[in-house]
Amino acid sequence: MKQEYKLKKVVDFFNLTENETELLDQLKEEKAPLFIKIISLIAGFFVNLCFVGFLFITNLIETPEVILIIGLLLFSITVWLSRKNLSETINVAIISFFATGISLFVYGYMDINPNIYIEFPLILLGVLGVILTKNNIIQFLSFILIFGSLIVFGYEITSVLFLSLFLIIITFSCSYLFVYEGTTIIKNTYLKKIYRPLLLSLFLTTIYLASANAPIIYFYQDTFEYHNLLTHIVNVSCAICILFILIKIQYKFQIANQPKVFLFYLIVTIILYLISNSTLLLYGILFLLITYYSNNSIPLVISFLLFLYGLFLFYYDMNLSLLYKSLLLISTGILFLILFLFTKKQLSHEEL
Amino acid sequence: MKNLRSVFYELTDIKKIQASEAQNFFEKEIFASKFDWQQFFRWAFLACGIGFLGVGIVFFFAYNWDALHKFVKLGLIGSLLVFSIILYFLPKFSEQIKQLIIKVSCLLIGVLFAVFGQIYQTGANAFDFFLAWSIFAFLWVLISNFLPLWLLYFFLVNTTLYFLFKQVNLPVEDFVFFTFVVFLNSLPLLVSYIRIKYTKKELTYWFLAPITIANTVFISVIIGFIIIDSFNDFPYSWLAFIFGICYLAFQFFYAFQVKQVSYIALAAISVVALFCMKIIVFIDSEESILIIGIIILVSASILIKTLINLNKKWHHETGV
Repeated sequence: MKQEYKLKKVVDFFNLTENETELLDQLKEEKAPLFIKIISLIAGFFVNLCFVGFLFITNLIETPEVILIIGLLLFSITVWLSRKNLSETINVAIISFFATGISLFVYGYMDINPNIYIEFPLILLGVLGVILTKNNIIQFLSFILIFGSLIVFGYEITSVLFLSLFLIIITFSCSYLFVYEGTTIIKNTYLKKIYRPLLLSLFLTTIYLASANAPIIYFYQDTFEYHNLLTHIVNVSCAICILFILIKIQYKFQIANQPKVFLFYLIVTIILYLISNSTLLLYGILFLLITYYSNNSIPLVISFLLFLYGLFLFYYDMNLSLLYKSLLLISTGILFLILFLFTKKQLSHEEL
Repeated sequence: MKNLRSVFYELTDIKKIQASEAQNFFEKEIFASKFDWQQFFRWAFLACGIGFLGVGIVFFFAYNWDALHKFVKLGLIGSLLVFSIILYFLPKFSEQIKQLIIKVSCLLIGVLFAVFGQIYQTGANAFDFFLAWSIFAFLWVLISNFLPLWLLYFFLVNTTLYFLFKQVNLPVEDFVFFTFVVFLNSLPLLVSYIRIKYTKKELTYWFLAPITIANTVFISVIIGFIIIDSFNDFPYSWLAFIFGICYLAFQFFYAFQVKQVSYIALAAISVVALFCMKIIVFIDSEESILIIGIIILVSASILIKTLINLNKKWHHETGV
C-alpha cells in the first residue's frame, strides 16, 4: 500500500482538516525496520557477554558490594541515556549497559544475600525500567524481566497455583490488549507509549508458560498439588478467550439466522471439549485467531507454529493404536473438507 | 515503510480522538475484515482437510505396511505418482494448483525410492538415496520452474552433498568441498544478477533470503576455521579464503543493485565476526574479550546508522 493511500484512508476516516493533514504528512521520520532492532538486541547482548566475561575472567572487581553498585550505576546510565531522544544508533550501547547492569546486579546481590529472593529487587528494577525509560526495546526487556522474575518466583516456591493464576491473568490481558488496541491506547496516554513492548512481552510470556508449564507440572506431580484441577482451570480460561474472539468474529459476519448461530457455537463447544486436555493446542488456536484478527503478522507466524506443534502433541499423546489414530485423522479430514465445501457453497451463494 | 497503524499512532499526537472512534477505525481499516475471515476459514478448512486426510491415510498404511504385498506397496506409490502427473496435465486446474501438484510429485519420487530400497534391501546408503532423488526430480523442477520448488530442490541438493561429505571418503580437502557447496548455493544470486542486467527483473527476496543466510553462515564458518587454524595447516585453504571474500563482496554489490539492506547487514555481521576471531587469535589474552566487546559495540552502531540511512534513502527513491 502506498504511503499517500494510507494517509488518505486516515484523512477520510477522521475527516481531518487541511492543517491536521499537513501536520500528519510532515511526520516523515520513520522508525527502524524490525531486523535492525533485532541486530541491536543481539549485538547488545554480545557486548554484555564480553564485558561481564572480561570482568570475571580478570577478577578485576572482587567485592560483591562494588559489583552491585556498578550494576546499579550501569542501570542508571541506561535510564539516563534512554530518556534523551537519541537516534537508534545508540541502541546497542543502551541495551548492552542495561543487560550488563542487570547481570552485575544479580551476581552482586546473590553473593551478598544468597538466601533472600532475588526476584523482588529485579521486579522493582523492571518497573523502574518501564516507567523511567523512553526506549521501546528497554521497556520490552524490562517487561520480560518482570514477567520472568514472577515465573522464577513461582518455580522457586513450587506453587502451581501461583503459576496457573499468573497464566490465566496474562492470557486474559493479552487477549484484551490485542482485540481492543484502539480503545486501550486512546483511554490511557501512558499505555499508548508502552503498548507495543507490553503486548509483545505478554504474548511471548504466555506462549512460554503455556508450553513450559504443562511439562514442568507433569515432572513434579508429587511436588505440585491439585495440578490436574488447575490445568483444567487454565484450559477453561483459554477456551473462554477463544469463545470471546469467536463472538467478535461472529459480529463481523452479522449472521441474523439464530439456528445457524446456535449450530456454530454447538460445534465450537464440542471441538473445545474434545481438545480440552491439550493446553498447547488451545493456546495455538487462541493466538492464531487473535493475531489474525488484529492483523499482527510476526505474532501470527509464531502462533501458527505453536498451533502446528500443539496439534502434533495432541495426536502424539493420544492413548490409541496407530490404526484408530489413522481412522480418527481420516474422519477429521473428511469433516474439515465438508466444512470447506459448505463455506465455499455459502460464499458463492453470497456472491450471487 | 510506515503501516496504517503507525500513521494512526502519529495522528493521536495531533488530534484528540474518541476511544470508540479509534476502536471503530481499527475494526474497519486495520483488523481482519469479513472477507479476510472468509478467506481464512476457507483456506484453513481446506488445508486441515487435506492435511488430516493425507496424514490419516499415511498412518493407515503404516499400520498395515508389513501385511501388504511388495507389488501393492510399490503400486500404491507409483499410481499416486502417475495420478498426480495426470492431474498436472488437466486443463481445469489453475497454475497455482498445478504447481502444488508438481511439488507433491517430486516428494512422491523420493517416497518411491525409499519404498524400493526398503523392499529389495538394495544396500544403498542415505547419499545414494538422496542422489537418486535429486537426479530424478531435476526434470520436474526444471519444467515447472516454480520458485518454492526450486528452494526445496536446493535444500535436497544440499542434503545430498552433506551425506556425500559424511558417508563417502572424498579425495579432496574439507575446505575445498565446502567452498564448492557455497559456490553452488551462490548460483541463484548470480542468476538474479544476470536477470537484472538483461531483463531488469530480480529473483524474489523470499527465495534468495534463506539461501543468502545459509551461504553467509557457511562462508563465516569456513573462513573462521581458516583464521583459527592458520593458512599453513591446510592446502588450498587460501582458495577458500579468497572465494569467501569475493562472495561477501559480491553480496554487498548485489545489495546495492537491488536496494536491499538485509544483504548488507548479513555480509557486514559476517565481516565483524571474522575480524573478532582474528583478534582473539592475534592477541590471545584476557584483554581480547574486552577489545571484542568494544569492536562489536562500535561496529554495530556504525552498521545500524548506515543501514537506517540507506533504508530511508532507498525507500524514498522507490516511494513505498
